[in-house]
Amino acid sequence: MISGAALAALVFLVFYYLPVNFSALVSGSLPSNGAAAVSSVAAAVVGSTPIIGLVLAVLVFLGAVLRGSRVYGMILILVGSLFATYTYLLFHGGSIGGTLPSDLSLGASGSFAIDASLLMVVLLIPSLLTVVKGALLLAVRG
Amino acid sequence: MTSRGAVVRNPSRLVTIVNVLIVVSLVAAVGAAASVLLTIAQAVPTVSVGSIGTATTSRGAIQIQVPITLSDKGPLSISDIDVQTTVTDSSNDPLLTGSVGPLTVAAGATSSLDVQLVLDTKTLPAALLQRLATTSENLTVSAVASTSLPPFVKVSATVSAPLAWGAPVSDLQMGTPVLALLNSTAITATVPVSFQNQNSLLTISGTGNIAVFDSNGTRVGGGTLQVNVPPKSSFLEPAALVVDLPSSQMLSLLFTDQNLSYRAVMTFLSGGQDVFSETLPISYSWKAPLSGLMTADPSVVPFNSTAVLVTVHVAFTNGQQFSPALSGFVKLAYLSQTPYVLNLTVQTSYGPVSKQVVMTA
Repeated sequence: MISGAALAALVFLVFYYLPVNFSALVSGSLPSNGAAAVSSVAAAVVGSTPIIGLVLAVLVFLGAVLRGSRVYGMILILVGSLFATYTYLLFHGGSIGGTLPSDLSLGASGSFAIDASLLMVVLLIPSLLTVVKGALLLAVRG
Repeated sequence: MTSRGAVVRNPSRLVTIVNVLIVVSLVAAVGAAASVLLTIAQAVPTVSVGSIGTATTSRGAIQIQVPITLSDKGPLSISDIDVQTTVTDSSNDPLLTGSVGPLTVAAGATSSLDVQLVLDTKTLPAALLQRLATTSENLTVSAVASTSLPPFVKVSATVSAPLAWGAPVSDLQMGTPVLALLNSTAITATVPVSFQNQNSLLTISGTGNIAVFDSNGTRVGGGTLQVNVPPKSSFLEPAALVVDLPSSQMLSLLFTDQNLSYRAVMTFLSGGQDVFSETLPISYSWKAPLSGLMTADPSVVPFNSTAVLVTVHVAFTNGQQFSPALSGFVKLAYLSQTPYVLNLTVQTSYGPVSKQVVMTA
């Protein structure tokens, strides 16, 4: 139970709290223009994806509580699927693009594109393996 | 075949294998993500732009150098750094182009990039150069930058920003010339030349050529002007010009005050090519050295039994401040019963000037 709560808290911290408060956390260590740019870009990239992090925290806690039960496999499938969805949405399918804020220094504006397909795939693998594990557990216990 | 069959027959062993794969992949994923984040987080704050410098190549191109320093303190190298920069005018015509890269900054290393913007005066139209030299306007700086953190991330960005371009030669003026005599056919004109360098980057340095043309378009003189004007500063120096006196009008100039009008064409050269040309009027109120020459009625009295004494008053104004004192003599050139013809000769800086005076007495 305690380890489940700790794991859920970690998931909440990493997948919800940090993305939602990213701008506020980094603004202190950056110049004002840079902080505004990072904040704008982070908001565009993250979007509403952290909401999934809240659900994940709950499911991770449930998984810890219900470990070994008949529904554990189903919970793992849900957790794996949501992690994969979270990762896919956060990486915008591997190609993240957007516009830079108009209040950059000296009136600069622009756009950016990040191709992080390989990193996304690397991050998707544990999630997909978790789904496989959940399916195996369902098959074994079914 | 046997082991695969054992795994299939024993699903819990399959789960164990999947568990191991999950742990391994999780470690790899966290490691990859952390490496990328650490590299970005530790490199971005170290990016600094140094002081912008300018230089002129032997071909006349103006280079603007933007030094950028970057330290990679993260675990991944930053590769394929490539920056393409273009400066365009209000009509979106490219003026300056520059590029740097591809460069790689190894993990733990510090590297400097020199983004060089080149304004090639040989390839730009003369009218555009002229406008840039004399007119302040808003330009646009566009940069396309790309880099990668191999093998995970490739980043590219396009940024544009307005750039206030200050005219390097603004409000060019030539003041009233101060004349001095050079020789009998030419004078020197010291003309104060002033302008403002409103550009915040360029130092205007070199030799300006000044050609002087008369009203007929004939070149009658010229001179040079050494210029060295730092950014955002003013220039005021005298230019020494040598101007030929119009030989065809010389007689008129000796006796009559005139307003002389010239055109001064000032050009700046860069790499052997005119990059700027400006035409300015120069006018000067010429004061004749023998202005208003006239003779009074002569008086003729007997001198002795064989000669008469002719006395004639000659009057004129030497309006020139820069000419030395005039000297001369009067010679009786022709004598008949009447009229008397005198030859009046005055030695001027421009040579002897003679005028016949006809008197009836």
